[in-house]
Amino acid sequence: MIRFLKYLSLYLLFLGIGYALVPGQTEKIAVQIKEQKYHEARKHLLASFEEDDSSPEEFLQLAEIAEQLGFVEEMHRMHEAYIERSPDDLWVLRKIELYHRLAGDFRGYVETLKAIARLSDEPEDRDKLLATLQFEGLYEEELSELSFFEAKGVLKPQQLGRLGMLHFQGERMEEAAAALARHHESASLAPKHWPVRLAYFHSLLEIGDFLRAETVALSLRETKEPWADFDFRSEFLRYGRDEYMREAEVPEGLATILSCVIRPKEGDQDCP
Amino acid sequence: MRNDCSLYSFYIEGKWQLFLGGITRQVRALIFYGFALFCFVCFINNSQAGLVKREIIGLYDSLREAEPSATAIHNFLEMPLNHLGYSIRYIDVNAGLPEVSQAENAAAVVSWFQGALVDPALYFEWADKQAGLGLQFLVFGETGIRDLEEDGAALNLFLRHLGLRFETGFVMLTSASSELRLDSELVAFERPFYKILPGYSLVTRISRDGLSIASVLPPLRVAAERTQLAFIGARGAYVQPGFAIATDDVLNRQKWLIDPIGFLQRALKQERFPIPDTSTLMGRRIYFSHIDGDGWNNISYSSKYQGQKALSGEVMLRELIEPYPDLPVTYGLVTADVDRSEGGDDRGVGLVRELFALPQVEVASHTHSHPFHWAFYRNYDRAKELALIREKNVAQEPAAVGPVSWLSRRFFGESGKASFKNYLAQNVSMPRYYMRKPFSLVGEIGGSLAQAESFAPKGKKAKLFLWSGDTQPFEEALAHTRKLGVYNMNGGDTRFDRDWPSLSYVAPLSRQIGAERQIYAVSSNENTYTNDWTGPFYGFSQLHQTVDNTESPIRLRPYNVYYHTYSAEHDASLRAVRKHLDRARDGAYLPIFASQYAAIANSFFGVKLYQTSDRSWLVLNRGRLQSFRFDDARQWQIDLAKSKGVIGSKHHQNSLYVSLDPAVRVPEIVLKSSQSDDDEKVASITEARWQVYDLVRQPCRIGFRAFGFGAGEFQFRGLSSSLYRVKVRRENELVLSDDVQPLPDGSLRLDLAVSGMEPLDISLICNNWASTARMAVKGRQP
Repeated sequence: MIRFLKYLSLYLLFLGIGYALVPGQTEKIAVQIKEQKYHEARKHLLASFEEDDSSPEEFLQLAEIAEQLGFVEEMHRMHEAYIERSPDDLWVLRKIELYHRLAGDFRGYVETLKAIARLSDEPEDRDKLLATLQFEGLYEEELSELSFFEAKGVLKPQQLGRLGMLHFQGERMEEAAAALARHHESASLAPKHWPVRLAYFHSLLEIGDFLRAETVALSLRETKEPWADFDFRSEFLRYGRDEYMREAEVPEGLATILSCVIRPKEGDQDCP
Repeated sequence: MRNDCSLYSFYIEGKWQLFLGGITRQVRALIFYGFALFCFVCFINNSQAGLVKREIIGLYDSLREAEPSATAIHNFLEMPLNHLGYSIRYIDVNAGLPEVSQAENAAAVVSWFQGALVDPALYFEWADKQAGLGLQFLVFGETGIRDLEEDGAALNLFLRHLGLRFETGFVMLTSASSELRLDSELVAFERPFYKILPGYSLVTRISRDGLSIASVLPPLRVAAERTQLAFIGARGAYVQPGFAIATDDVLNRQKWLIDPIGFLQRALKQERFPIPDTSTLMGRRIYFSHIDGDGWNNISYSSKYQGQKALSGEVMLRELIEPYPDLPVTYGLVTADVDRSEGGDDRGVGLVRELFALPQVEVASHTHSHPFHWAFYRNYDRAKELALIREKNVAQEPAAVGPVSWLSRRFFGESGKASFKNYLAQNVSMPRYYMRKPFSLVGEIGGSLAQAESFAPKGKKAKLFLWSGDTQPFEEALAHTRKLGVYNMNGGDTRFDRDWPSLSYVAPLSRQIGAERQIYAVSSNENTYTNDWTGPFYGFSQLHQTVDNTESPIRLRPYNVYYHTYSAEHDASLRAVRKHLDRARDGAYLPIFASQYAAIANSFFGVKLYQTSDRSWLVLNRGRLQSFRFDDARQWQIDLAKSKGVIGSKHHQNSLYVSLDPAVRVPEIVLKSSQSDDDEKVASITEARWQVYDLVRQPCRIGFRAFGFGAGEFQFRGLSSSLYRVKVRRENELVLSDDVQPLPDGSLRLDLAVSGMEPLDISLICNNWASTARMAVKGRQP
C-alpha cells in the first residue's frame, strides 16, 4: 500500500497534476520534464538548487533529468542525497542498486541489496541478496543475513537448508539441527534436498538425539526414492548405537557382529 | 657465330635476339621459382612433424546438446582455447568417432558431456585407443558413463592414461570432507572456493606424474583415499562436475572456479608457438565500431532536436558519425527501412546516401526484412508465415513499455503506414519484421547488400553482412554470404563486467555450423545494457568495463563499439555512445572497419604454422591476420635479422606481439633471447595507428606504405642516432618532408598530421644515406 502511494505520488508529480500539491518551481519543472525539456528543466532547477536546503522532490527531479540526459554520476549523487532524507524509498533504492550493478561498485551494490531486502516484502529481493552473497563467496555475511531473516521466519526451505548446512559445516550442531529440522518439515522430496536431509540426520546423531535420527531415517527410507537405500544403520553403528534401525537394515546376526566389531561390549554374550 | 651453349638450336641476330634473350631469362626464372616452390612443397609435405597442431577435437552428445554452439565446450572452453591459438572441430559422438588418421593433426580431444552416453563402452574403447596413441584428453564434467558398476572397467582403462581411477562410491554429504588442497595459481579464480563442497565422485590418483589442482580427503565414514576434484595428468586432465564452473540458478550467473586459460595451457602442455592474434594490429589493440540499422526511421527525442521530428538516422549521422572522421564505422542498413514497397520510408534515402558518402563509413547490410528467428527460414513456408501473421500479428500489450512497444518503436517509429501494418511485426513472436513479401536468401542477403551498395558512391562495396534478431543463421544462409564473397558477423553478446562477471561471458571467435562459420561480434550492444531498450538508457555507458576487462591483465579482444541506430533516440543513449567514441579517439588503438575484423577472425582458422627450429616458425595461409603473439615472453624478443616479413614487435603485459608484413607471402618468425648480446641495429616499427605494408630496410633507410584513420602515429626502434629525413608521398606527390632525430637508443616517435585514408609512401633516410649508398655502389665496381 505504501509502495502504491509512493508510485502514485511520483506519477502525480511528474504528470504535473501535483501542481495543486507542490506549488511553484517544482511544478514548473515537473511540466518541463513531462515535455522532455530536460536542459531547460535542469537549468531552472539548478538556479535555485542548494544541496543542504532543497526538498527531496527537487533531488528526485534533478536525478530524473540527469538520468534522461545521461549524466550518470549526477543522477546517482541526487539519488544518494534523496535516500539520506527518505531512506525507506524502495523505488529510489532500486535505482541506486541498478547504478551500482552497472557501474561495477560491488560493495555499494551489496549494501543496497541488503537495504532493499530488509525493506521489501518481495521474497525475490531476499533471494537475490542471499544468492549474491553465496555466489560471491561472502559466507560470513551470508550467514549473518540468513540468521537475520530466519529470526523473522521468512526463509524458504532451501534457504533454511543453506543456513543449516553453514552451521553444520561450522560444527555448530545444535543450530544446524534446529534450522535443518525446519527444512526437513517444509522441503520437497526433490533429490537436490537430499544432502541437506542427510546433514539433518547427521546433526541429530551429533547432538545425540538418536530417536529423532531414526525417525528421520525411516521417513527418508519410506520415500522409496533412489537415494533411500543409504546405509543409515552403519551411521548409527559408528556412534555405537546398534539398537537403531536393526530391523530395517542388516540381518540381526550380522548387526550384532558389526556392533561387536565396532564397539565391543565386555561380557556381552552375543559377541563371539 | 653460333653460341653452342645457347638453349636455342638456331641463332638470330638483332632485336629478336634481345627478345628471345628476355624470354630465356623469364623461362630460367620460372624454372628457378618452380624448383624453389617444388622444394618448399616437398619440405612442407615431408615435415609433418614441424606442423604446429592447432586443432582440438570437441566431442559432444547431440542427444543432450543439439548442436555445437549449444554445448558447454562452446560456451566455456572455446574462447580460452581460441586465445591459446586453437580452433575446435566438433564431432557428435553419435555420428561416429574419428579414425586415428583424422585425429593425427589434433592437439587434444576435449569433452564436457551432460550425462550418460548411449554406448559408453564403445566410446571408452575408442578413447583408450586414442590416448594410447598419445592423444591428450581433457575431460570436463560428466565422463559419459551410465553406471559405474557396468562401465567402470572401461572408464578406468581409459582414465589410466590420465593417471586416475574411479572408485566405487559418491560423497553426497561432503561436510565432513577434510584437508582440501587447492593449487593457489589455478583455483579460486573468479570467486572463492566452495564453503560447502558439492557432491563428488571418488577418483584416486594412480600415477606420480601430474598436478593435482584440487583434491580432498573424503569423510572418514567413506574410508576412501584422497580424491581428485581437478587433476592434470600425463595425457590430459579431468575436472569433476561442478568444480570447473560455479553456477547460481537464482541469479542465472556462472563463474569460473579454475582459471580456464592457465588450466588449459598446462593441461595441453602447450609448446611455444606464435599464436594467431585477432585483437591486435601493428602492436596496438584493434578498434572497430559497427551499427545495426534498427530504428533508422524512429523520431529522436534528443533535446537538441526537440520539435524537429528528426529521424534517429539523421541524429546518429550528425552526432555520432560526422564529428568522428578519425574513427571508422560500419553501418548495416536494414534495407526495407527505406523501401516503400515493404512499408519502409524512402524519405531517408538522401540521408543514407550522405552517410555512405563519408570516407570513415563502411557500407554493410543488416538484412532486408530483419529476421528475428532465423531457424524459421531454414525450411521456409510462406503459407505458414501468412498464417502466423493472420493469427498472431497483433499488439499483445498496448503498454508504453515492454517488448511490443520496443519492437514497434524500434522499427516502425512514428512514420509507418497503416496499410502495411499487418505485415509489420507487432510482437516478438513474429519471425521477422517486414513480412509483406516472401522471404528468400537471395533477396535477404544478396539483394540487401546490392541495395545498400546502390546508396554508396560508385566503387564503394558492401563487404559485410550483419546478422539480425537471434543471430543464429543456418548453414545455407552462412554459405550464401560466403558465395557472395562477403564476410558475416554478429552474435556472441560478449559482456565481462559487474553484471556479467566472468570470462565465461566472453564469446569465442565464431560459431561453427556445419561447414560454415559465423564470426561473432566482439562486444554486446546497447540492447543488453538497457533491458531490451526499455531503460535505463544510460546503461551502455558501462561498456568500458568489458573493454577494460578484455584488455587487462591479458588482451583478449579488440575494442568494439557496437550499437543500433535507435541509440540516437535519447540524450542518455547518445551520451553513452559518445563516451566510448571519445575514449577510442583518445586511446592508443588501431582503428579498422568491421569487415576487416571479420576477415581477421576468419583467417585465424586457416593459419598453418611450421616449426623450423626450436625458435623459428614459417607462417602460411594467414589470410588477413597479421599479428602473432607469444605469451609469457619476457625472456624473448624477435630476431629481426633472421626473421622474414616481420615489421616489428612489441612487448605488452606479459606477451610479445609480432607484426607481419601483409606483402610477404610466407614470413618466418625467429625468436632470440631478450638477453641476447647481438646488438644489431635493425630498424623496425614497434607500434602504429596505421596499417603498414611493403616494408623495405636498407642501410640507413627504411621505407614502407601505410594507411589508416586519424593522424599517423608510429613508434620506431633500431634506427641509427643520426638525423633522418622523413618523406611522405601520395601517388608520387610529396605531401610532407621533414627532419627527425631519433633518441640515442634508436627509438623514434613519429606523428604525421596528414590523411592516411589513401595509402602513403613513407620513407626515413638518414642524412648520410646518399654517401653510404654511393660507397656501396663503388664497392661493387671491379
